[in-house]
Amino acid sequence: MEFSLKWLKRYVKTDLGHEKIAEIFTEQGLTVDSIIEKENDIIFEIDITTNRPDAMNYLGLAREIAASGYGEIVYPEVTVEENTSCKASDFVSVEIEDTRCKRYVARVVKGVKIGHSPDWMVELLESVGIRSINNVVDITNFVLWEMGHPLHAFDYRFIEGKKIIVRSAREGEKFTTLDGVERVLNPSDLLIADTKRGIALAGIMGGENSEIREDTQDVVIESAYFDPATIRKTSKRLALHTDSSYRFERGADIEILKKAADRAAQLMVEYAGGTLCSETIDVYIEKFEPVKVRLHLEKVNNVLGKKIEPSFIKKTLNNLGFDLIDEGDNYFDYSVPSYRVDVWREIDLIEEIARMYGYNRFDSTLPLIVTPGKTKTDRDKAIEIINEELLKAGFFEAISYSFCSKKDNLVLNPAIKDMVEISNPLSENMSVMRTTIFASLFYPFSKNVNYGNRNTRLFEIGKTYVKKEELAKEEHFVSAIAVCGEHGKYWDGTVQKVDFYRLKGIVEAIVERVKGAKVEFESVDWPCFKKGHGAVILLNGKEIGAIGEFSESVLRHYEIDLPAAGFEVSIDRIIEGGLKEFKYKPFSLFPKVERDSAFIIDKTVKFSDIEKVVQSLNIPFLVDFSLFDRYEGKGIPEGKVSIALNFVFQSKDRTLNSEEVNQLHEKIIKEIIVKFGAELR
Amino acid sequence: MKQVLEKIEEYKKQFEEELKKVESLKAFEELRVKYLGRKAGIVKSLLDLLRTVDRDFKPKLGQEINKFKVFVEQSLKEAGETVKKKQQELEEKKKFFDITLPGFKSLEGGRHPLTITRQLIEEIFVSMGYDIASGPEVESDWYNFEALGIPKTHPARDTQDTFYISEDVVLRTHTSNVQIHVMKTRKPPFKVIMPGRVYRKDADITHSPMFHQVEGLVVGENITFQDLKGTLDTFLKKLFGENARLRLRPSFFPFTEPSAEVDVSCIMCGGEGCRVCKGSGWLEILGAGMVDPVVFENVGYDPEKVTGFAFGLGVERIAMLKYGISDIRLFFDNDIRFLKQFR
Ligand SMILES: [Zn+2]
Repeated sequence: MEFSLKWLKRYVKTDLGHEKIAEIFTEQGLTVDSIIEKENDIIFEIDITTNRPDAMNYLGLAREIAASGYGEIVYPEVTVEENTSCKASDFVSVEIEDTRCKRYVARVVKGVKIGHSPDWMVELLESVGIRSINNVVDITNFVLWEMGHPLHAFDYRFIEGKKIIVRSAREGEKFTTLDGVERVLNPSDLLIADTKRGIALAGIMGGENSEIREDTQDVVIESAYFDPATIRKTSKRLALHTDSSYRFERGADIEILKKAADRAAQLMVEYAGGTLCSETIDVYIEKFEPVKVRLHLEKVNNVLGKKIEPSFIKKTLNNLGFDLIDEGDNYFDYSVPSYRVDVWREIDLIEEIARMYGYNRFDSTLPLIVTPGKTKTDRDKAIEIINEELLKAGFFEAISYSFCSKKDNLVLNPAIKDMVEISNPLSENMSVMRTTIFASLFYPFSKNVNYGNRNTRLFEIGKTYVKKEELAKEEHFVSAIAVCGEHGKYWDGTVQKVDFYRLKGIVEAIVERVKGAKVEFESVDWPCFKKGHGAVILLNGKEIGAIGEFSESVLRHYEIDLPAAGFEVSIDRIIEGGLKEFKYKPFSLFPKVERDSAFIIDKTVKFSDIEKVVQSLNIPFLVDFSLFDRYEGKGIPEGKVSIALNFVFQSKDRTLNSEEVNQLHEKIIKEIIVKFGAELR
Repeated sequence: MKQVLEKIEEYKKQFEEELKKVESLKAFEELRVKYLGRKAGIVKSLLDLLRTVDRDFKPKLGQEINKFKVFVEQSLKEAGETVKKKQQELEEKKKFFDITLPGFKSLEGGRHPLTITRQLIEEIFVSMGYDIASGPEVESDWYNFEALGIPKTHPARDTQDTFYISEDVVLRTHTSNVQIHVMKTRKPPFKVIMPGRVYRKDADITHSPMFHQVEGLVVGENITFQDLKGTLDTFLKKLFGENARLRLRPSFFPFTEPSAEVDVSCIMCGGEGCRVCKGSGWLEILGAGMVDPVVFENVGYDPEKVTGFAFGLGVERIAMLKYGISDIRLFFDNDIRFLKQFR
């Protein structure tokens, strides 16, 4: 909010320069964001928090400076000269039908001459960006900025039936505000009406039908108090925000109404040549009762941690307008001024004391409570291992949005239709919460690939969100996506590849390290994966995730022209039931004996079946076996593949002899030949 | 006879030619055998030829052959030294190992700068005895707003443009909702921080519809405003260095009273005033305050018995300051050219 130094100085006597004034404002909680030096004025850009409507005007700011002890407030002299030959009640009466209006003050100024405002007023208004319209309208604006209370001026001619009725709008009632826009109202809106129609949208904007015109002669000044929530609701619904609504919705000063009306009347008499009718119409349906607060001195020190002198408290609160109505040994009783709508409890007074004392004068101490610091949870430990494995494999961590489009979710995770939908999204691409991290991680993945990074490897650790009753089931996942193919080549010819099997290896390593268990993979035909290239990941028979090469439809959806593979695993499901525990097992000190053999075998024989067969033989001393080469192509019949297996035999308590190992090895070879029609190479 | 002499002359020329070409020890040995080999050397073949010529010519021819033999021997002896030296040099060359060839790096990967920053913040607080808690992102209006003293009609709702799921469910606009979850499930005293994703309907160079906050909450008997100040002072010094200074400005948050906006002396200019701090010498870094009694009442604590403070800071804001990033969108573009600078 902008304020002019020149205007401010009308209400405060001080020797301070503008920089010091800005400093005081900031230190007292009215942060001066910037100081703009103009030709013959200085403009403060002040960030006034929503709880301080009392400071959104010049007198309020002057009060703050005076309270700091660096100046003296100068109130404008409000004196009205009434002409007893006319009475306001002869012109108009006021009826409050809807109690969301707590008080309505009206004054009548007769015989004004609409014209220009005095130059000084035009200049002040313009210094804070308010365009001068005419003397009467300018005066209502001037009073708003001077005292903080929004006023409205009606052309008396257009108040039908000589009556102002404050009522709720009717359902569908149409009303044209003075900006020329027709608004459709409903009963939640408060309307100022005459006997026939609305003439102002309460607290927000006047009506076109009763605004001040060039030939206006008699003016009715409205100075009223409206319920903040009501004004806020209407102003928000109609997207109609005015200086007036801004103040009413934050809380106006119900006790200043008469004074504000008088001030406007005084200025209209002086600058618009009007005559002020006697009588102030004042319908006050619920007399304001000042809030009383007891302040315990001990509480002040307990909350702030510093002993504040009672004399300082007394002086400060008095300067701010709080009335000391009683005091005891260890307490003060205060009456809160009507303009301080933010203060109604002891803690609010403590804040007043703290901000006037100066936040930066407090010491720095640390809490005296002893608490243990955090120890890592199972999830933290799992995430550490997951990070290690993915960084080792050369993946970059990404943080993508938690939201995506419905289609993104469905392309990657068609099984889940219970999405958390955002009712007011920024765009279609951000309209639902992701049910799989893939759905949003593919955005940065695609971006990287399309700017030319043909070796993109990304992972993300985050949540997925599936609708659960009113809220969501939020589950932690790790997800990784990589381009399939060569990702690098060393100068000695070694190639760094990334593909399905490398991703599979990462998943196996993660679960092995986190859980000490082996995962199983079960082929699935999901539309997000290339046919035959996708699998669900099972841990102890329970599904924990999926892995695969992405299908054309996924790649096309995200505009990717390279093959890509990925996996997604639930961290929460892996850690369920605890983590791997380390336990030392003595290792054999006797030599290992190794045997290799290669077979030519049908390509469709699954390796997992070979594993099962070997395991089912329960060969003694067989401590390890692995696939160390797989080859198809030249020299191998079509439809067949050559596999080379390595078998490791070892005993715990003796050296094995070659003869017995050969026999065991033979047995395995035979079984593989018989079971799979394999041929020894 | 004449023929033989010519042949010797020819061999001599040929030998000289061949000797010039010899580089390796192996070639040298081959040349020696070719001319001086006892079984099939050229000298031997000439001597064999000697037997077939006329007796009268024998002495003369023998002399010539011998001269040739001596010449060859002599030349080879001289050349041998050079060749040996050359060979040694070659052996040395072959052994050469270039330690300056590029090393074989693993594929590059790295953590996200926001994760790095968040962990930095977490480590500082954990070292000060804080626990870490988390809570839901899809949140009821009550936890996100009402319990924190922000009813539907509160103007403070304007400053937090909210994504709504339904009338009573929102994407949390701050991590403060976790304060309520923590207080409803724990008994004081405790010190907790609560990091996480938050959402606001806002998107430009300094605002992202999704960003990260770290919330802090300390509740116990006799927790004071000075404790809040000291805690933040310690934290900011650990984060930005011992020279960092702290400034508190009174502010307003519905769930704290007194409330403060906390500034740190500009880490770019040290407080002199620069482009980053817009000349003020200060950077707004977090919001804080004493827990408002209404919040304690909402979670069933007795505000007469306990006090506490809370604070909230933006992870992006701190990462942007620490790493000199001016566009918040870079964090969520996840461009590898950006990410790789933090590995
Ligand atoms: Zn600076």
